[in-house]
Amino acid sequence: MTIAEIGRALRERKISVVELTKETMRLIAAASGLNAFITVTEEAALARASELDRELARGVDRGLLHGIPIAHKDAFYTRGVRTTAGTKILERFIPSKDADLVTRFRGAGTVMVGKTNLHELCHGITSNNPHYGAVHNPWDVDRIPGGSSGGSGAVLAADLVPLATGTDTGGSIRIPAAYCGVVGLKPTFGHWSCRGVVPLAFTLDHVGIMTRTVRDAAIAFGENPASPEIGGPEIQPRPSGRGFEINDLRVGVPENFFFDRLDPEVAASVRHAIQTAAALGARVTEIRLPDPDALNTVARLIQLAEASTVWRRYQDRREDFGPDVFALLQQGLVIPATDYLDAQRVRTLLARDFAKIWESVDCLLAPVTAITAPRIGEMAVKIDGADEDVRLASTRLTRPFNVLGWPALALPCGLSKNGLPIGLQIVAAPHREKILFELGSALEDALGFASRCQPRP
Amino acid sequence: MTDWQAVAAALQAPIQPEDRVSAIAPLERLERAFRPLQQNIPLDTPLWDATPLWGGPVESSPIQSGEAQPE
Repeated sequence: MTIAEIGRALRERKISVVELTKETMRLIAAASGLNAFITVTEEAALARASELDRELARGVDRGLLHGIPIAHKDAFYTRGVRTTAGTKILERFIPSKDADLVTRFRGAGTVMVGKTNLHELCHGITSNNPHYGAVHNPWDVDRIPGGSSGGSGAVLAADLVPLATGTDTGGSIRIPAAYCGVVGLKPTFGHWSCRGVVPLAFTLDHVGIMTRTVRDAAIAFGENPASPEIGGPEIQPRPSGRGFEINDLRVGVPENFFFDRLDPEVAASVRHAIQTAAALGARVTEIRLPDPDALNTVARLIQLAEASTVWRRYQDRREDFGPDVFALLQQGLVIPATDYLDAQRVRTLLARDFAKIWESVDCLLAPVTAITAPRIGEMAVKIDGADEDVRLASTRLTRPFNVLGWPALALPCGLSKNGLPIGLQIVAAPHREKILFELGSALEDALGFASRCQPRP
Repeated sequence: MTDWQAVAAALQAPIQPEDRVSAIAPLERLERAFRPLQQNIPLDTPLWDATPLWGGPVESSPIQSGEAQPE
């Protein structure tokens, strides 16, 4: 169910928060084979649900998130609840405070039901965690859910909760959203504080949310779509009855880089979504971007160096790291300070160049990943007859927007012939998240993915 | 190009010889892509401003204090 549907049921007294929480716990237990949670917080969740029911009975309604179950990626500090970041090093770490984003959602009335599994240290995209086990994709349990926020993607795809948090340093919200057929929002860099989140790369880390629909993402972000079907105390329907309008929105389609070396089914599905946007009234134009590959180069260099500064003190505990993560941490150790600083200066120049595109378009449409979800353990995939590393095929289209700090929304736009979701990303200028929701909700309605497509039981 | 083998061996805590192969090949690829970008940076180019809303650590954690030790 969506946040909107649950909210309506709660307010019509068709269900209580306690009943909802108990049902969520039953679903989580039934889906334990996905290994999507590291910690489930049943007792605390039920106590919290009871408290929120009492509030509703007294007429205290915190808004559209009152009573909504939420799963937090296990990189977010949660007071009194273990926070591992997927590493053995933090397996006994119990924070005494919540992360800022956890505090925000708690204040909005959510009920935390657990902490989701992830790629170790958020430093990878498979969520094949050597310490807490591999997360399985509900669409095909032999495949990865993507990562690093893979557990969050899986719990949404399996419809266990309607809202989860994630972090995104090179695509770690949008990649699992694409591979799991759900929605992922990476807001503008710094929009939400990273305080209380185990860091990976200080100047690239973003915190964000994952949901089953774009409208739910808008609600959780605080950008309420004025849809009559949602209702609730804060929303008045617009006369048109539509959530958002996209007439005359200037949509840019990159003519370079973002459609190179794609799985043909991914390309076709994203092209279809672009045609749909045009049919809905958007003004679609092709646009040439300065040099996205350069963004990827500086991003990799910056991420390697910054991650190694965080974890350097533990490099003598090789046995406590997975081999892929340990290799990345070793690479970061040898990067000279002058190269790191020059990468940040090149970033300044690239950001200036890229910002000019907002003179001619309001947003960009592009694929999230070059491929659909790979199999667990698969290291390379074939695209156009050539082998490509799974990590690069997953990140090369997302990472540029971490370097620029631009907001990006991933949403499903179709299924491959073998039944795997395909993701589309909408990207806007800093602090223009509303555009993402406007176009995203219009495409969501027109493409009908959320209502038409579900993972096999 | 950088002699990454030498750099890896010269660290205060050197990268072990058996780890150098997996660490160095990606660095060589990254360096080939990065050097051309680095060559033409104007002298007065500042660092990218990363400070906006990052608020600092929420508390003293095992990461900051080094308290996370094996049992």
